[in-house]
Amino acid sequence: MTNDKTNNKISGAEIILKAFVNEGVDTIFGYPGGAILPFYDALFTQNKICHILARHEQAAAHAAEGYARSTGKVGVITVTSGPGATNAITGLTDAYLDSIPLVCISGQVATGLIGTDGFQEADITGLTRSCTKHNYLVKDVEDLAYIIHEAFHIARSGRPGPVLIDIPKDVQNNKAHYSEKIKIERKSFQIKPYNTAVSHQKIVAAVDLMANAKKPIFYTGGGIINSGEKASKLLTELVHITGYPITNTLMGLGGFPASDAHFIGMLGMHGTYEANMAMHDCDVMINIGARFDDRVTGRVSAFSPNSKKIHVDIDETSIDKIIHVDVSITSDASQALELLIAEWKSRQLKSRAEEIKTWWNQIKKWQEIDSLSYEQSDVKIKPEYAVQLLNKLSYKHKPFVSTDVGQHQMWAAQYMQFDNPKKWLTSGGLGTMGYGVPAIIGAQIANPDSLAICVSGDASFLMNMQELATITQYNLPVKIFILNNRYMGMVRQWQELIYDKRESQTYMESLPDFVKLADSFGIKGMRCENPEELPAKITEMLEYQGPVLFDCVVDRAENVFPMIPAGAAHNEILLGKQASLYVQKDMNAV
Amino acid sequence: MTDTVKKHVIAVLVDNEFGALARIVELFSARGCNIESLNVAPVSADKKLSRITVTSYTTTKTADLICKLLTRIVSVYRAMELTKEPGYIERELALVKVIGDEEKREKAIKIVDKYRTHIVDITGDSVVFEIIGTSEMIDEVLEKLSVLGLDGVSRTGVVAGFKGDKKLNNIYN
Repeated sequence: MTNDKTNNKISGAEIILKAFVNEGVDTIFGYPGGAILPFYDALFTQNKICHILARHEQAAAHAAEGYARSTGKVGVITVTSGPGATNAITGLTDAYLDSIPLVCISGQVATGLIGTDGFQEADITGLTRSCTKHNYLVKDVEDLAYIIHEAFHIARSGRPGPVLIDIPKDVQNNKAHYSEKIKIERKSFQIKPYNTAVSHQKIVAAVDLMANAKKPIFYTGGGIINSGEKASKLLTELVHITGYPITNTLMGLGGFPASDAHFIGMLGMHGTYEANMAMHDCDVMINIGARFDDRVTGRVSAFSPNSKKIHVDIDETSIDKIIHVDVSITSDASQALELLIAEWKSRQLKSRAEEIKTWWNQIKKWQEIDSLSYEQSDVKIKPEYAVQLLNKLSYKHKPFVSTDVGQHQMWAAQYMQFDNPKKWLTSGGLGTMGYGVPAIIGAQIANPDSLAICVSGDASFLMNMQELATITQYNLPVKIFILNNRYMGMVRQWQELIYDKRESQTYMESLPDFVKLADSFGIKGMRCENPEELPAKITEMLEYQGPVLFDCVVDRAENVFPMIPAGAAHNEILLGKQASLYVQKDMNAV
Repeated sequence: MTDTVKKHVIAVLVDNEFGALARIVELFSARGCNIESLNVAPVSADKKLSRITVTSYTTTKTADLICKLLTRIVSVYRAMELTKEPGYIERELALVKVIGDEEKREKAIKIVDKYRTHIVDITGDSVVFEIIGTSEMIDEVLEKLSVLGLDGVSRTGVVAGFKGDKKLNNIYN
């Protein structure tokens, strides 16, 4: 005992906690188990780090994602070996595709047992190689502190992403010296310094294209969100001083204020008619922080065939990956925006909205088609109506909104308005059902005084509903709004349109009674089946001081429109019944 | 043109640490790309830097994409497809064993004599050669020797680089 005191060595488990504190971590999400007991024991006897107990490691990972996306900080999860770690893989893959900074600590069997098919042993470093930015197996407690600091550095630098650290039980128990944050010295992972990366020539080339454009458009994505509030402000400034239209990807919603007149809606497979047509017909496309994902481009050979493209991305390998661009700028979004604004101003250029009047008029004509319109009903609740109402009644509170995956996700993206970044939490790249509830838990934990809403579907909700217990344990006043159509809606829609209505395995038989389910977890349950009652009930949900599970029973037959079917081009977009009636009328009138 | 399958040689400079090679190999297998040959060895004086050379038969489009994705890996300094660059040179070494009587051994020696060969071992009933050349040359020799019967072949796979002062990477920038 005396020896330990004079040596001043602490256990690996304590090193982990100290390193977390030095990295600015105050909240972690996780689930204990045999191989990570030493860590959880050290956790018990300290009070700087708060641990949120999930009910499934996948949910812990998604909660950390919601936490990270809503704050800009690195999300942290701690899980045990074997099934604990493998359960987290979906969350890590989700973070990998959506560029969310996460650090995952997984317990592992003692170093002597590795490779012996030990109890709860899994080769998690092998399993997560392709779904993490980097991962480690710590074999010596002397390396532990450095690895943790490097992991945080990698997670948050450049294009953010998940990092996993596998720590065997004996390494958690062994002792070493550690006191403060260690400087990272890895030469291979070089992050370009902020103020020296971008060549002036490229900025000039970009502004040359922008200043002479007749049909320009801004196309911005998750890179703006990851860059921070500053990027959002700079983007707004650039759009205003140029007077150009702007569209966002699913991941980029909130990066530019949706209520601003320059915003022409989300683009992509379920984006607005005007946004997709503008992308197809433009002559200069300015991509900042988006990656030309296939949900956005449609058929690559027909994507925006006549435009020059400018691409700003922090990840060099994303540039010219699928779509060839004319001017490429590898940098953080804020940095590039600052330089573009400075160059534009240095040329004494003002807003070109007048000069591109013909283009704006064309966009307005496309907007008049009102591609997001739907047939209202006074008998059934239309899901579009439900989300529109939710937006109207919650807008002033600037809520955090998460979704699961499917039709409800698209309707939330179409009808909720985000004027600020970091409020919108959705699984874009991986499209993980079961993301919504844990993600909103993470966001509510990080922002306890804000309104937090999860828009979910009946199929998605079932995937991580055990997290209702977490909501009750921490008394989180989240509002879970289920658009219940007793279907796996999006899959059913594709089966209807493409597979001749053969609804294979998409009907949700034996759904639980959501109100009774909520009650069993100690949560207020509400149901609405009547459109007339909906405004009052939504208001009741939003004003209730505590968590609410809202079963909104909606029209089963409704499909998400507009839709660019897989393999089609932007101008082959399908409009809903009502919208396409309008187009036909227009053609006949001429 | 970018769609025909041909031989591509990709060189990767990487931190010499466990897991780095696995990550790089996984990039190929994830794309259904068979690795024809691979070698890895430390190339810096402090042994902290390794060079991996991968040979794969694939389309140019896939090879370029893989190169891009390789540079995204944290441990990687630089990845480059070499065959399309001017001044490309490659070498491979093979150890080949032929077992047989004197007549068979003499026939084997006659075949390999035209190539850059060295006899590593010769006994009453066997001979082991070391053969150095491009991988096409080694393929040629092995084909000719196989008529006699090959009793053991071990190849290093391609190592490659450039003529003149062209470098793969300036790692201290």
